Amino acid sequence: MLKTLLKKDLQAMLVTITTDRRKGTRRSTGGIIGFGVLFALVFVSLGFAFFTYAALLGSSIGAGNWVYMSLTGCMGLLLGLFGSIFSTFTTLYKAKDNELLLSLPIPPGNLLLSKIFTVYAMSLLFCTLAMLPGFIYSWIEHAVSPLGVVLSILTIFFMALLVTALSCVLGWLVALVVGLFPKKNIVTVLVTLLFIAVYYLFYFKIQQILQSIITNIDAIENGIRGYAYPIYAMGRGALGHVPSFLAFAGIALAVFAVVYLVLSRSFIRISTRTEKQHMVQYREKRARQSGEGAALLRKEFKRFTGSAVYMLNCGLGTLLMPIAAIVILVNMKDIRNLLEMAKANGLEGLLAYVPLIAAAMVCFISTMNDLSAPSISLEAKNLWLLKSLPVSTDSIFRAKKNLNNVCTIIPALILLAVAAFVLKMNIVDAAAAAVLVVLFIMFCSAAGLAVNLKMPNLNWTNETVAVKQSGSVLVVLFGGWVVVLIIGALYWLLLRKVVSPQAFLYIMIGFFLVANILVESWLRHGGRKAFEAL
Amino acid sequence: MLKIEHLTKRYGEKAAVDDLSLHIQPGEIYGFIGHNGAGKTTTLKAATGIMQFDAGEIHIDGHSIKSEPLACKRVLAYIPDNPDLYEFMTGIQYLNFIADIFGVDPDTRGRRIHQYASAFEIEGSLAMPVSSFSHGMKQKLAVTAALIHEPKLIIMDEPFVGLDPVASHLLKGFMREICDNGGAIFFSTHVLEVAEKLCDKVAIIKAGRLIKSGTMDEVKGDESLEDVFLELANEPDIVPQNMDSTSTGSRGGLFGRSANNDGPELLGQRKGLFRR
Repeated sequence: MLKTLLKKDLQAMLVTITTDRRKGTRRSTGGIIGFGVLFALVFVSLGFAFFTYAALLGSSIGAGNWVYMSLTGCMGLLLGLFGSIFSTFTTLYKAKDNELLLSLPIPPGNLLLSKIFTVYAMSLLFCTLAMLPGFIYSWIEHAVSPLGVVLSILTIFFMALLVTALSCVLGWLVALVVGLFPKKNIVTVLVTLLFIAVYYLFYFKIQQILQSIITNIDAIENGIRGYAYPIYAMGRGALGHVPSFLAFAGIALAVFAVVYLVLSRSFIRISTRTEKQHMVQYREKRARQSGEGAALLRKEFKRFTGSAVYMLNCGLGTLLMPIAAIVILVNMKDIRNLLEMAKANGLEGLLAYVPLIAAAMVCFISTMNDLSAPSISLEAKNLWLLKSLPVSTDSIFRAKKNLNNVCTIIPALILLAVAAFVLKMNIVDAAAAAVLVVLFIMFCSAAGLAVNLKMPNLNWTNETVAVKQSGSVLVVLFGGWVVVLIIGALYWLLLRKVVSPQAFLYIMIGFFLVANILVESWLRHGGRKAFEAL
Repeated sequence: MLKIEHLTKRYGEKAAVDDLSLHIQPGEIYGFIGHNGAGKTTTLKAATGIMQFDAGEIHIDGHSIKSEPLACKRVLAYIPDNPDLYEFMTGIQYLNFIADIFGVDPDTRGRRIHQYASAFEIEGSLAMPVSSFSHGMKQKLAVTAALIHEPKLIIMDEPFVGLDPVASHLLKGFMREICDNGGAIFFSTHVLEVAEKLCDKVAIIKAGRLIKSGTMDEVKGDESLEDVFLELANEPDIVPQNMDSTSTGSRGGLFGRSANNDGPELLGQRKGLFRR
């Protein structure tokens, strides 16, 4: 029975890759390979960033000792928890197929285990992403026995098991805390932002943290050994020390088993619990009439603010861009000092790149918002409504694009305005940068919608699948980064000497203008047909 | 009001609806009956413009659903078999959304919301999220939303499923009132007694093909609609050629072959279960 359930979950995970949901047919081998290559590209790019961290750490404290391995493991633990904690509760207890599955003669333990399998798959992905580059750096820098390599790889699997167990517990606790508040979605977003703030604090303080680790390496060694034995055992095990590896594996298995046993006892109770509904009596009052466009846009906003998962995975840029603006303002003096130093050291030529770099940075951060990318998939069972109402497909598309435009352009322009002020950009350059940012965001909104129309998933059993694990979101999120990076690299490596930064800014405005026209044209024809065929 | 001409919809090789034609006049309640998978929902969805079809034409109030879908949708309302509404909205937000789309002014919408929502006894719950509504309440909300712009044509798929007896009775009253005022209703149902009492005309569809249609008297004569439906469903010569006569779901379940193999026979009839 468990095998059948796992097969179902595996099918659900792979269906985006293997099936064309629009046609209901299996993708061609080329399509599947293309998807795989794209995924690998994204994975390798992110892995490279972790490799850089690992190199930084390894060059400071050495990469062939257990402390390095333990810290790499901690990175996996943190990233794994960060990546899965907020979706774990929904995955375990709020899946749409829970009612069906609970009505079948399936032991709750098996049902829970199959759900945990999905969480484990995500945890494994995050742990691999954070830990494997660190281990590879260690293998390159130090001679490691084949046993060491095998054990360090196995360590990732057991670390993912530990992450899964902790995610289940913490996810349950977060749901418990959030459940105490009436505005659950907002509280969820705030709690998540708190986590993100801690993460970014860690990110920005990495140099100081490393310095502190180097200075206090003995105390840290003793601390880990004395108070965090599993991490100590993990570090030694990853170096090929078999007893330590067995100890770590045993601890991970034991923690998982305890969590599983506790959760399996409460699984039915939590899954079938009905949330408290505060009764609100309707009082008749005169409604305000809106036009069709405003009504559709308002509906999209309600969809967005009605789902913490949607807000967290596709709309964080809306909050992070103003935060970035504040950070820039707070550090204004340092940034301006840097500019003065550049001038003083005869690097005035570099200052000409400031508007271009500012625009590129804002574009890069703005890709954190990809609200249009899952917007068709999110319609799911409600799609009949939009299709049966007297609204044109163009109006529907416009509302979905405008949700992303409004939520992204406003904070992006705030960030750009602050950057322009702090960096003392002239008004013409600032205006050109703003035009480029607006065109880029509009392109991302339209492209996100277009990709979702090509890769819709209307049959999800868990909203997380549509907004976090769907191909369209993946393509748009990382595609945006890749576009900015490729354009930046092309300019810096090939065109810098022949095209001035100002001229390149205007060329990019032209480029994204054409790109917008092309994608809008596809939406009006191919996109409309794709939507009507859904 | 609704003119369906030679409608054909295929799923791959299988014709879900095959050359179906129907005309519904203003003032008519038109029932659409057939067994599961006969093509009722496909026909209704095609007529509503939410499903593309392969051949034929559908006109609503003189407009083609293919070339003028918006003009058609402005005069119709569709109520699906499963009321999947926007759960992230409250009941009143949903009704206002629909009213905004149809451009219903605040006074008129307020009056109609009050009229229908209070009749269905959901008015007090309109401030609650749709996600907290029961299936029946969602169905009532869907009906209220459908009536908010006074459509000329209402297309309903199994509208009585999930409704309590009082709400069913009310809905029947509203349906008759709409048709008395010149509107038209096209709805599918499995409740043949309701169809018999409520409909002016009825069409029976089997395996995607229209096998009988007309006024209630023309279709059923002196028999009950149920008897006529069962007899028609049992007719061997109307099974489309492309269907395997030995492997259809219906034959395997309700219908079986007679002992002397001279054609399909209703198992229930043989056992005396269905004859009154």
